[in-house]
Amino acid sequence: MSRGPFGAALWTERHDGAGNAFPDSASQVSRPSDPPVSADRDILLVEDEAFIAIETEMALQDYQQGPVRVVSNAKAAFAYLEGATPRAALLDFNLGRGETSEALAHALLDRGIPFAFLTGYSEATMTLPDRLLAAPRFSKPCHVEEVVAWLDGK
Amino acid sequence: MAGREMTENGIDLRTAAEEPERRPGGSPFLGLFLRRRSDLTDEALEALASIPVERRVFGDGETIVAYGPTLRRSCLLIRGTALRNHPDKGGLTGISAICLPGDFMDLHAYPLADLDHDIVAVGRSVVEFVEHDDLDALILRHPRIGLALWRETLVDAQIHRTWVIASSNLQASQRIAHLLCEMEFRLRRVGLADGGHFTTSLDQKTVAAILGLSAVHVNRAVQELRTTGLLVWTRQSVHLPNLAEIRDFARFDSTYLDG
Repeated sequence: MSRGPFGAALWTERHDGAGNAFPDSASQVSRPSDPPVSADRDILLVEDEAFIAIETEMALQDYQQGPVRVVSNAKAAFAYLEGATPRAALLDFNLGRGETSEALAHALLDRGIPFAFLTGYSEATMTLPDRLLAAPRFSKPCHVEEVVAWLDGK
Repeated sequence: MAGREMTENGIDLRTAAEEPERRPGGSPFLGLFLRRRSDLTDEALEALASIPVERRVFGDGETIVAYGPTLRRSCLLIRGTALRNHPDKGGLTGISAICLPGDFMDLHAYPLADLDHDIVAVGRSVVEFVEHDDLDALILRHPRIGLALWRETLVDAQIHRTWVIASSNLQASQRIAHLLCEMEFRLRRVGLADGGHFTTSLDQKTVAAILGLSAVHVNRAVQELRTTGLLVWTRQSVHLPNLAEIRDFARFDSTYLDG
């Protein structure tokens, strides 16, 4: 897809080390009045482009989906999955700098966590191994309704 | 819902529906914004990413920054849409600009003492405020950041000039097409448009208000554009199936959006 001049470098570099790539993700900030949240209700969103990440996160919140855990790379996603089982995951396929979410998709499939790919309209067709072909694909950054309809069954 | 508080100046400081969230550690968005048009050193980008921000969420129709004396802070839109609305103060009223994610919306408030318009959210919008004191320090240490901010306000001025020319040169359906071409271009820059598709919280009634046309007029023009295969606008989803053709029709040249 056309990634625009924003790319991902600044974003991922700044937050890689912490293993928590989007510490400023709004839904991660729990306020004292919030009830404890079951990790099983969480949605994992893996997206390396900051503006799409916040747009997708807030759009899901607009539809009362969430909380959304946002990370910008596979490493941070694996780190999160070590201690949590989200109810579903949304994976941007191309994570920038040659990284894809394919390995992550295999891991989610192994653990039985439902996932879908988010892809750009102009993104070249992904070549996926057979076992990942059944995963739903949604075009981003649009049509959050379709994503919500899919999430509702999860 | 946050309570409303009036300062001595009568400026509403608490228009947000949700409590502000302070981020002393900074945010990557300011750097992402300036990097679009300006070549900044890694050191400058790091400095930008480290200044504290306060993130606030505004609901549809809420005032993000009010007409009148400016506060010692400016804000960057990171999600949603906002309009520069000139409220009725006995003079002219209307909407003079659209703010999209990645726009430093009230950079004007940095050197100016008074804002001549309100900045109003359309749909649920997220904004990050930065203190002018922090910007002062940043510009002193990295003069290129000052130049980059200046460049952004000059691009704003280019957009205004183009809107003036468009309104005197184009027919209604061309003006709508021009506005949508501009939105597609600006949103694509931040990754929010792809393949001629984008999502917008602006409805056709608001577009009519922006262009100073009647809603009936806009509706008819949108139908016209659909018939000619240039536009598919369904609720919040806009698709420009043939970008080259609609740009040609609107006489859209993206040069004015470059720094």
